[in-house]
Amino acid sequence: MGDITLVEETFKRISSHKGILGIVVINADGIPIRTTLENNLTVQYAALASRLTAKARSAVKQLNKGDREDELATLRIRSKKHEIIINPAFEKGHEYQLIVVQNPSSE
Amino acid sequence: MRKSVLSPRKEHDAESGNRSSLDKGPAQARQSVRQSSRYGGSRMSMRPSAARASKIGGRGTEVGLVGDHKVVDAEGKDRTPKPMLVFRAPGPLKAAGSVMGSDSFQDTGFGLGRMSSNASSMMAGGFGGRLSTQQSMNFGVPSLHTGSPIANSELWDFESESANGSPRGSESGMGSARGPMGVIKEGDEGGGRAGMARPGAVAVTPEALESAHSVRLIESANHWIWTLPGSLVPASGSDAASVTSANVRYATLLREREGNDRQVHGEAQTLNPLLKAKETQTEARSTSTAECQVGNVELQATEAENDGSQDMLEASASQQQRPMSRKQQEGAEKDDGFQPSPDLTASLLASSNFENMAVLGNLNPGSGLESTRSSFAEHGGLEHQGSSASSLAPFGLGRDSSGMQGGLTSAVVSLRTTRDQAGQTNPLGLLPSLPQLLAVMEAALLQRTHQPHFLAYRDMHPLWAPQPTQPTRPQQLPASASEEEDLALPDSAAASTPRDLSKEESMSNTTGSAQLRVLWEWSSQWGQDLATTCMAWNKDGTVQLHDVKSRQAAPTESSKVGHAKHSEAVAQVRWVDRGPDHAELLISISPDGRVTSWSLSEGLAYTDLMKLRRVASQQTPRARPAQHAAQGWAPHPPGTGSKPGTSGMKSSVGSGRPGSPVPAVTGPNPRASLLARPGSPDLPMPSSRGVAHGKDMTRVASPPRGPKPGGMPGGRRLAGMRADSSLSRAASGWCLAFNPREPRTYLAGTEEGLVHRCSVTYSEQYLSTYSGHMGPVTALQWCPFRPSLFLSASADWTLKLWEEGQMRPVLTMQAVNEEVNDAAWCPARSTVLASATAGGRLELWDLAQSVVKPAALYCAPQGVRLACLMFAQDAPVIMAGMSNGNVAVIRVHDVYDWDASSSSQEAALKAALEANVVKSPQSTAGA
Repeated sequence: MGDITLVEETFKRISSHKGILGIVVINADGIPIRTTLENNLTVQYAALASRLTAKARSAVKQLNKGDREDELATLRIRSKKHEIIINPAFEKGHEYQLIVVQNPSSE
Repeated sequence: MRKSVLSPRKEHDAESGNRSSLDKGPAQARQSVRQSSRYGGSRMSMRPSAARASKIGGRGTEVGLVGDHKVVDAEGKDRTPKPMLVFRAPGPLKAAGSVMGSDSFQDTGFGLGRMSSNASSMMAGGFGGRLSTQQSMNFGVPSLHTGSPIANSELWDFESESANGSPRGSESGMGSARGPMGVIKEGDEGGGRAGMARPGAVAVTPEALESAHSVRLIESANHWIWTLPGSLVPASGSDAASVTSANVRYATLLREREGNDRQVHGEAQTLNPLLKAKETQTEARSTSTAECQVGNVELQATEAENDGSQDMLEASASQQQRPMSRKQQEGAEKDDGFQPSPDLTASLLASSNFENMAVLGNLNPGSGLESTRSSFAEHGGLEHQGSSASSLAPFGLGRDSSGMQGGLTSAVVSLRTTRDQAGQTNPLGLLPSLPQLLAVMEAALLQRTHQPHFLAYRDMHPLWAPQPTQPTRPQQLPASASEEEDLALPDSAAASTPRDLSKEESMSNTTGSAQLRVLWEWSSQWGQDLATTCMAWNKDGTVQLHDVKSRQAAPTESSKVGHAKHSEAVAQVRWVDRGPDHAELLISISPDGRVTSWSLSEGLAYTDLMKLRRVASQQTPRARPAQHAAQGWAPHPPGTGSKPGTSGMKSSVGSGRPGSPVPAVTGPNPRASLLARPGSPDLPMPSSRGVAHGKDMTRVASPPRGPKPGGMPGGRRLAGMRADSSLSRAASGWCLAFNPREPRTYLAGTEEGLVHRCSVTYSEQYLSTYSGHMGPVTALQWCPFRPSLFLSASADWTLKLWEEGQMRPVLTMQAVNEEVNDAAWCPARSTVLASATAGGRLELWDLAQSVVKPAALYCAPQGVRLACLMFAQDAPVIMAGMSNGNVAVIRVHDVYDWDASSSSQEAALKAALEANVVKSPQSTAGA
């Protein structure tokens, strides 16, 4: 339980940072478990980000053929208006992704 | 204008009366001469001109006035009266004269009851124009009856020429016989006599005497030439009361004028200049108090409110459960795997919401389970319709094992069932390593927030932002290693701290001009709404909050001992490093006059090092007995114990929350209870001890100072010294500084503007006293490079440098007319000082450049005062405490000189001092 309260607190704190537009947690199948965005946007982010993460992960794996231990840790996508940070977790049975969308130019 | 016919008899009577009055002639004539001479020449000169004008008019306008009415005497002669004066020549004076002669002359001459002061003033206007009422009264009152200055030869001529025994003359003669107008009487006398002198001019026949004559008097309009309202008011008048009260007021004013504050005996009465006791006058430090009281009723109301909201949450949770469980059943029936329909996604989102709600609802676990169970029962759940809560777990498991395989829905349902199983409702709790992931994410986000600051700190430019400053500097890309370091922030520390920054990176670049740039402002939750008044680095990393009065809001360490606290706001807190063998000392000074040492070894115990006393005498500032009262160890506050600071902020921030409304700046302070504490008797001291001590004492050359506002005047003051009345003599200490090379002596600055050098071991006397500040001394610091030099800041707008042996300041600096609240030496460059003013200016002084103008300047936002400042010891950063409770972290550019050896620093300081002192030897000392 204490675990969860800590997680919840961190969620709150992150979403209270300046320029944070939304936080989405999706599971391995691209289904959002937790979101602070609108529904449409959430579905869009979930679908697109999961595919992108899969691509990136396979790229990392292929680039490091010799090192099987290597794994994708963070994906940062910076556009002119937004920055999307994706933190995936690839533990067996618990694959999920944490997506944060922020506006980097806001002060 | 004049329409009258007079009977000859009356005229005759008038003549006889005139004649009788004329008998007094010579004496009155003499009197008139005296009067006229007394009144001066101007009036004398007027009369002939008026008379001349009347003569001219008499000749010139006969035709104009002989009109409708003719007066014919018995012999058929035309006796129509001719005007005595006719206005011919222009000019105000003559016009006035004509009016007098023709019009009002007649009115008054008839002696009508309306004869008033108005008419007489008109006469005065007619004659002189400038004559006062009193003078005109002299014409009108009976004294002139006999000897008016008008009764001279000129009027005689005038009457004899114009009247010529006419009825006009007799008529005015009659008037003068009755009325007070002696002027006319005299003239009529002349007229009458002239008429008598000419044979046949006036023939009084018996018929005329017998016959009836009618006299019609028509009142002519009043002509106002000049009015002078009288200064007297009738007692029955409407404004009598106000006038009387005004008179009374004036009389009191006159009576109380003696002894009034503003009364000055002298040639001219002027305003007294404002009395100034000191050269500069400053305001007292502003403090404020906030408190809140909560009664039982409010507590209960709040509790009830909370209960209500919880019930509401539960209700909404159970409401949401129904559609969900239905959806669940639908999902269970659909066995066809993943269906990415929007409807399904929506329901999933709803499910995540639902789980949130359920978490809240389950604050009361019993009812939450109950509602879940009932909802299942309502939907005709599967096997279990029993009412026991324990049946839920097998129910969920059975459901899970009932053949939902693969696909989205099964995942969701399994999530749900596990929640049911464990009684935990958050799916996030099931994700392992989520906290770590979140920490990484937060660090990444913080990087964006703080990267500009990091880069600014390292004199680099952010990648994305525009780059306006310092184009000459070569831009460096951030090294990834150091960036990683900076990113590794602890999870719980939402705000970064200077210690995180100050890893290494000596700034050896000392060329160019100094710059101040604020990195960020930092505020703590417990400093909210309080002005930051003092900060101190702390070497063991504990965060110490000195809550001034109660000390109850301290996060790690606090003193709750009632009698140990300062009775005023803590003015300054200092950590004293006594070497590796001894523990650090925490010393605080307060306007209640105590210098107190706090020990952290066992809770918070305190020892009074010194009780500051006023220096009453000019020549021998006697040391006062100070109590050295070890009060024993204070009880350990529950839950304290010095934890290492979780945040990297190693500072001690005292927030000024005063106990009493305003620290008593002057006069006796209500500290009777403090002094009368048992166990710490305030021992009176023989006066000889203070005088006999130390040659330093006698060398002190205090400027001549008058009696203090709270002091006793004259001889009583001396007596008070001997009696050692301690109550009124506590000086409020505002700051202290320990000598880094010799931690046994320290300086204490007081509100009087004196700096006392004191010793830790010998707590009864001041070692020496430095005087020179006109206002309260707000900050003191020893020079880190030259042990005999120290710096003081004062509310008299100045910074002063002192040499330990000299009683006079070596150097005085002042930039603006603002109170200097704090000042400090730069730890890495010997010639650099910083000062913080009440106007929000953070000034950086470089003695090597100028002692007149600060080398760099940072201005706080409008309305924010800077209360304190502090140099970071190993980073080019100044922290400034602001009156809004924030701490600004300010990067200092191009100042620090880390590489220079201490000897070269000292040499630079010496050179700078010599240069400046030679330049301004007396101006600084005399100030």
